[in-house]
Amino acid sequence: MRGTLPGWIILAALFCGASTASAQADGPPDPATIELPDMAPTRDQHVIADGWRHFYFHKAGVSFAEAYADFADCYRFLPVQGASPALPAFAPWSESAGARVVPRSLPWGLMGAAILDIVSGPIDRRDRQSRMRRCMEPRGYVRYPIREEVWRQLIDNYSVRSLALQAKAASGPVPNLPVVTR
Amino acid sequence: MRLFAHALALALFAFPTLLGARAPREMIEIKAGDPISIRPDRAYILFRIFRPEGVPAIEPIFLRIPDAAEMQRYLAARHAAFQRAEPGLIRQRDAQIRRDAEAARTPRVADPPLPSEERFNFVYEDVHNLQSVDQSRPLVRGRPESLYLVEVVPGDYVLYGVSFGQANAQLYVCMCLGTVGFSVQPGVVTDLGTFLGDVVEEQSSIPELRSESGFGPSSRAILGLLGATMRVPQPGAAIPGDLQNVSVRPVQYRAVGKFVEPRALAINRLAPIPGVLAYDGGRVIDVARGRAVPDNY
Repeated sequence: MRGTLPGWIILAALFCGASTASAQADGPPDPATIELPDMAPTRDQHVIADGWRHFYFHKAGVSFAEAYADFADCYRFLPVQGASPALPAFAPWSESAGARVVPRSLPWGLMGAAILDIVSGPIDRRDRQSRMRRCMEPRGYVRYPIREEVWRQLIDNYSVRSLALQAKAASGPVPNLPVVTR
Repeated sequence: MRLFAHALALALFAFPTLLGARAPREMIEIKAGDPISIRPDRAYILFRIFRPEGVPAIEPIFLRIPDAAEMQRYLAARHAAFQRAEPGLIRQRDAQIRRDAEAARTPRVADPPLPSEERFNFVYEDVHNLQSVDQSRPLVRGRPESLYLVEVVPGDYVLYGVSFGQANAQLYVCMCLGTVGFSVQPGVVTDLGTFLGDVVEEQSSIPELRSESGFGPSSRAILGLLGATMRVPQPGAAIPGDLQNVSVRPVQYRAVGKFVEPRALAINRLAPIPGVLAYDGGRVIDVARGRAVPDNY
């Protein structure tokens, strides 16, 4: 299990919505206590061109509390890493179902392992971004490009802490940057 | 590059498609040449898949909502499995707490929650209520439109998600952010209308999917994100001769709110259906009743 969170937090969040649900139940923290990384807009053309990979969500006029609730709701839909892709047989339709977890693998020995190592990071990033986009954009959020190192600090591997970071960035001043459309 | 991505995706997602022993398939496609006999203890769904040039083979995944007896069996099986697993889960939790203490992390991480039945990752396969309709088994094959007749267990259904049409169906996309449901009665053929599905990275050529497509490359995890919707049954739609003496009723769709499905490879929402399904921001709207639909779970 990659990332900054212990596995149980991720499992709790993804199977039961527990950590985001409890974060919601506790209410958002005081935004004044949340320290953002350097979000100053950049005119670096490489950063702007790369915005479809590294971006943050923003909504003009949204409050920190509303943005926090939106992110918490959408974090429920983040993926279970290693969940089997096979169509499951059963869903109880009363609660989130359990997931069969299988190690991600490629069949080509050491070469397969090397390829997997290279592609896993981008696959995981895009897997999460795709879900967050489908959940956040209908709510009126748009995307702005940020430098990769800032993006990493902001996303913080989708930790509970990152809810407040992303909500603060989303409710901040409108950046003087082109919206990401790709 | 696109070809490499597809090869990689197949290797990653199709290769480890390991299936345990499962209950038999509930939904039976009646394909061209099969005899059609309407069983009084079964219901039937009739629909078309519209697939214009350039659109890949995509098939719908339906969920039958389990009845009370099935849920009792599921909960009993989960309870028994949890009882067996609990000592090991407690040992794992204790070991995690020890590791966290030894690592002396700053800030200190909270202790893992005690194992509970509700949080227990229980995989259940004794009931087969989640199934795709194999798009390669139509009753009437055509292009751009093929017709499907499927024998199902009577009950309440949800258009749960979509898969690429392939030998081993996958829960490629769940319609977790909004979809529709419907009921089917024994001995009756219910016309669901026309299923529309496409990859939505680029603007779709299917009119009903235009507003929910063109999301660009960051919508793709490794394969392109799929979108879908239903075109409600059209009055006077052609019915195969074999069904002329059978009661065919148009479906009554209802809007279905969000649900969490951790096993899907991607998430989306069904594109709006006039008179049935709409959205207000992130909220699912039941158009007929003019109100938001609550989340399921």
